[in-house]
Amino acid sequence: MQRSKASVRVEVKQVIGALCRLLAATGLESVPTPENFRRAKFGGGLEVEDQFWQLLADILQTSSSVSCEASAQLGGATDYRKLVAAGLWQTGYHADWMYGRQGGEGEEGGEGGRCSSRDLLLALGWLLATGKLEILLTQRVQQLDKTLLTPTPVNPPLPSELQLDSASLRKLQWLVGCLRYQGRTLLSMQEERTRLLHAVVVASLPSSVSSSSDQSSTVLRKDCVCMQQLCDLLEAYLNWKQVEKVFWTWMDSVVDCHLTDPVVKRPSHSPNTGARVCHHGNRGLEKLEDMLLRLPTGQEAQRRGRGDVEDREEGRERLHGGSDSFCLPPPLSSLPCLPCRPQAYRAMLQTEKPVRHGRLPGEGARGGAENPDELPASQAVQELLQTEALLVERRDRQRLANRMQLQKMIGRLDQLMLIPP
Amino acid sequence: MSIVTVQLGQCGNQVGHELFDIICSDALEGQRKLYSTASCERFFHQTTNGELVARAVLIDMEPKVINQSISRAAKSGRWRYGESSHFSQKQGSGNNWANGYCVHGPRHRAVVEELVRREVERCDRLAGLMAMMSVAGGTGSGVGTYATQCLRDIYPKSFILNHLTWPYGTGEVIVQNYNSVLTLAHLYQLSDAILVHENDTVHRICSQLLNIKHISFGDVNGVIAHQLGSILQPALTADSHGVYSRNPLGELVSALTCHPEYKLLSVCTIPQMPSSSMAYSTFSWPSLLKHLRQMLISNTKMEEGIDWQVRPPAGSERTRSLTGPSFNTSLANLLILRGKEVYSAETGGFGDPALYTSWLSSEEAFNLWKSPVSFNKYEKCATLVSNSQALLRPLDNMVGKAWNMFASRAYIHQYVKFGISEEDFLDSFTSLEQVISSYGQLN
Amino acid sequence: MTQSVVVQVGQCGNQVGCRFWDLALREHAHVNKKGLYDEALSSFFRNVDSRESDGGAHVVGGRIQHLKARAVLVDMEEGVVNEILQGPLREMFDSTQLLTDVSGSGNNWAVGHMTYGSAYREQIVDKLRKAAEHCDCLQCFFLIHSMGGGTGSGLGTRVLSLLEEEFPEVCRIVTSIYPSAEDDVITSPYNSVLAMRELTEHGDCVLPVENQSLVNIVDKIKHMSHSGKPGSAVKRDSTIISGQGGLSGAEKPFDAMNNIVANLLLNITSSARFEGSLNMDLNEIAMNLVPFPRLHYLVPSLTPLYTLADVCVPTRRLDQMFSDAFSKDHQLIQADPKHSLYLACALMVRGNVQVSDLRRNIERLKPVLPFVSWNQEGWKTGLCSVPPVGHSHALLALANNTCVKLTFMELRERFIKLYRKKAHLHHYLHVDGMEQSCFSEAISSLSSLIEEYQHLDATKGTLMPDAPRLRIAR
Repeated sequence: MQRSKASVRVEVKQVIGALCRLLAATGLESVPTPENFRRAKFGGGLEVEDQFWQLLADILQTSSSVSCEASAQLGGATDYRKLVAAGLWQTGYHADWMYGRQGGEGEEGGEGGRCSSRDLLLALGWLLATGKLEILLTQRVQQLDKTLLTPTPVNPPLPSELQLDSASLRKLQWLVGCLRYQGRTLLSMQEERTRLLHAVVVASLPSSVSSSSDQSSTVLRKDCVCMQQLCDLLEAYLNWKQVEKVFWTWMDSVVDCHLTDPVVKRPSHSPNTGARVCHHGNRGLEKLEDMLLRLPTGQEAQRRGRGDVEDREEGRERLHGGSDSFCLPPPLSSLPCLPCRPQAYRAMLQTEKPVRHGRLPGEGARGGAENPDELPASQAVQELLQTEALLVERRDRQRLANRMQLQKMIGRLDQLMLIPP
Repeated sequence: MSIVTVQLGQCGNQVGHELFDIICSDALEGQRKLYSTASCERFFHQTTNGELVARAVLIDMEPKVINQSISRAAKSGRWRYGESSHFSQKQGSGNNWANGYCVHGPRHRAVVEELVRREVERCDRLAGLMAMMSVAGGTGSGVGTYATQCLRDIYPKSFILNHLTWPYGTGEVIVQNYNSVLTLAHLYQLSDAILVHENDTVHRICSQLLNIKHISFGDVNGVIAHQLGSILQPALTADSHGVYSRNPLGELVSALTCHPEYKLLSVCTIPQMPSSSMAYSTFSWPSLLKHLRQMLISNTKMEEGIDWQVRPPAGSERTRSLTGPSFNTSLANLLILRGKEVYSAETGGFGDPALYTSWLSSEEAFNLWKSPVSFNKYEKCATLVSNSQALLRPLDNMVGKAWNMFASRAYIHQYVKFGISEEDFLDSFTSLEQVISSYGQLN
Repeated sequence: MTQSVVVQVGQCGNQVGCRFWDLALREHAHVNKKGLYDEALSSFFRNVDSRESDGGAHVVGGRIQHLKARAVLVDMEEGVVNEILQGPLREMFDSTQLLTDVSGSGNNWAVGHMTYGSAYREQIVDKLRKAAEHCDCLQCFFLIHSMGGGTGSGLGTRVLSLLEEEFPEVCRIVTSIYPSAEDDVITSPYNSVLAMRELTEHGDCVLPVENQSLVNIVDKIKHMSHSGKPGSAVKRDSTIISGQGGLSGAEKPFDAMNNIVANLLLNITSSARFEGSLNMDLNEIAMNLVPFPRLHYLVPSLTPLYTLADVCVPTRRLDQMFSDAFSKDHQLIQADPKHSLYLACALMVRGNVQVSDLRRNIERLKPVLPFVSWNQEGWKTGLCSVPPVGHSHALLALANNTCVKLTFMELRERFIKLYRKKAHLHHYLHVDGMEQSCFSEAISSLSSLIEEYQHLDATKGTLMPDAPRLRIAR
């Protein structure tokens, strides 16, 4: 058993290494070593913590979750942490330590402000699960590949049976127009690539060496470097995708660690202070809704761990009303046992008071529901709690199944693998 | 991605100059490197000694205005036009669309195409072409239409945006309605989107919002350029992942003019005020957007005199088509927000399905661009580019007046002289009546 | 930049032309302080180095060497042309631009048109071609002539048809001086009506000017400057009839009247010569003001006719200028356009006037001016930034207005009075190529022209319904 444990550790380390290489390839400057990931899980020292603060800050900034202007104004490390907390909050993440005494200077002493490197690791897991990695990747690809354009996605929600009334016809004409424009965009990308390729080919022909000027060759060289980086990036992503499963299983163990840790307790504070820290944009909302939409598909083995994290955080998120809205995606609500709320809700204040007097659980700040579109907070909370319970139950079942499946898979392998607790 | 601008005629060359001037000073303002780089790449190319040269081709059939624009640009010290990227003749088109379209256009086709081709080749990546002109005169409208046709032939897959200045209802050119009808009918087949500024509206903005006593064409052109700039400067789109959009014209037309029968875009911008009072004013996004939304639905092109009574029709009214005539139904809208705290702006009001025609969902109909960078010294600036019924009435007026004149066959001989027949007129009238009817059916 | 050539025919044409060149020089000298041969100058003047034998024109931008007028002077007697050649303007013309005879046309249109027209045809065409060759981009011919005499009306209209034949692309703007009712030339109605047919058929634009109107304006100005009402003293040197500052010192009898016509020509060409925020090219005049090919008679009115010495409120004075342009006593023919029907109207403004001033005044004047139903907004405007000498701003209004038919009807009456008696007919009929049918055709051409105006006039005041629009089948 000991032998295999070591080999497993090596493997996890490799997987984390793949992640680190990918993160570095997306252009992040300070990525912790795989070893530091491991140390973070078990509450590594201040140095490890610092590395993770930096990493989180970089990710949040690069993916424009927090604006560069805001970060430019902040100087000290405490400000930095405040920014990370705000950014995380905006992406829909919640953890106790984020609601430390405002100003962030109390992360050591304050009641809710304590934060271990494991907390940060979990936060990182959240960011990866919410697709920040893909955003970083897309951005980096766009930087490296100048020919890339962003075609507006066309997703025609056509009615199942098409009638040829004038409205449908116009709609159809609109969609055809959309596609035509998209086609043009793609075509121009293609043409551009062809041109670049042609330039490369021409430049590499020995006969034309003399004719090409210095300037164009430096440009070409730059392009080549970009292309190389692009290839590296995509390769790193591919590698990561192949082993991602293992990482999430490991992450799962981090969560377990975190839950069994006696220090952790249910939150006992109001989230309002947090609301003061961040300015909440729509971006967070969109992400949250997007996430909820993806929730049911979390059954896929690949997303196992991710689903767990999401579930839990989602539940809390809603409980604390940190977000302005939530939405239950159709597939989820179609489960017979889940309360069904087909509409999306937007938190609304009855009076124009500052945000901190907003929606407390059970306070019913929204007053009576005069409108069928409105839902009193207390009722919402009730439903959310139910949902959470269901989801937690489902998560546990899922996790068990995951482990069984993994165990089975591992059993088939020569080496036995056990995920360290 | 770069845009090549083609300035045509007196108006096109004057407005074009103002546009580049505003874009340049806005791009070079303050320390905003990414924004500035993106903007400069879009509109200028840099010479080896660092000078900014506008990616523009200047075309007119008489030299005075072009010379003026070139020398004024050079005097600014910040940017200039290319030494040989202009073409002028000695004699104008004499307010005659037929003279521009049938005589001057074909005669100078090769030169114009060559100038544009040179400018396009100077771009690493071409985002599209923008032709700027008025519809009233002969050169802008006639040569402009012909040039757009050539561009469409040479660059069939490029995005082509036409910026048109509509003349004052009265007093500029007597045959302006004929010229406008011929221009619009032809451009509707060629262009991807037609962005319109009405001189009358802009004139009112100058007098009522900017408090200018003696309004000159320079003032009018300045307002047009400001509004255009706020559309064309770099912005973050929904899918651009935090990078300034590389495909500005493509995304503009994809957001607004996918349907071939609806290509007319109108613009309103808020706030607009004299630069002297800018220092004493603060704006909040909620109030700016509230005003802008009401400007949209009541079809008011400026902050002053908004009719707050106009409301979107409720669901039941809609089916019974009880919508009041004053409500302006949109096909699609693009909202562009620039400046401080832009991420906190709440734009849900523009996604209201009641604002839009029934056959397009509000998700498809409404698009939002943002940029945290302030524009042209305005701390906050919201611009709405709208494909709506806003231009229906002015278009209908224009066609109506031209049709009345045509019924008496007045001035037709001036066009026949250069090869535009009554049949050609009838074709143009027919296609514009189609456009009018299409827009009329939006609600 | 385009160029124009002035063709002055007959005694009257040459006298008016002479005043035009004098005032044009004065205007350019006023604007052009550097003494450089600029674009503005090039539109009416050539710059010639006398040391060079070929007399080649110098390029724009160099120093002024020796200015030559882009003009062709034609007269069938020597008096007026000789006077010019001995006067202060003699340097501006050389023999290649001149064409004279000694015997005159005897106030006979047929002699001018037929006899001299055929005899001098080649020479005239030759001189016109020479003048055209000196131009880089010839845009317009300005023909100045009178309607009453023999040479001006006869040979003048012959030159017009030669211009159409030789230079079909070049715009022809004719300034025709119409005789007053008490004209001392007895055959002037014949000459005028015969010339009218030519003008209707071969001109692009005709600016009719009546002698009587010029007389009235001169009288009024003289009266005002002498009466010396307090607060409305007229600055003598800046009236429209003054030639002060020009080369010709002593004023001759008709100079005051001719100066008005010369100012008309200066203003009409100002936007083509100088910069402005709203250019109005010469070819835009016909395009905007001539809805039907034959109806190309444009009634001119000039304001201000004189400048008051005291300083009034500027905007009021500016608005007054716009109002005056539509008043009866500022028209250059004896007519009241306000009570007839406008087919179209151009406002050519000079000086420091903004587009908002223009708009304000158009909005103000629109309700009181009757426009034809299909052209309710028939306004064309031009803004030229350079004002005339001695003024801060000036306005030339060109109206295509049915009021012009009154002048034509009077002319027809006078013609018929003579023609009924067959008076003096034999003087015409014995000229080679002249037949009786010329008279009947001329009078029927004039009558149909009057009818066309009357037909349009009849629609005035009646509410014309909009033409039914095309409908789109659903």
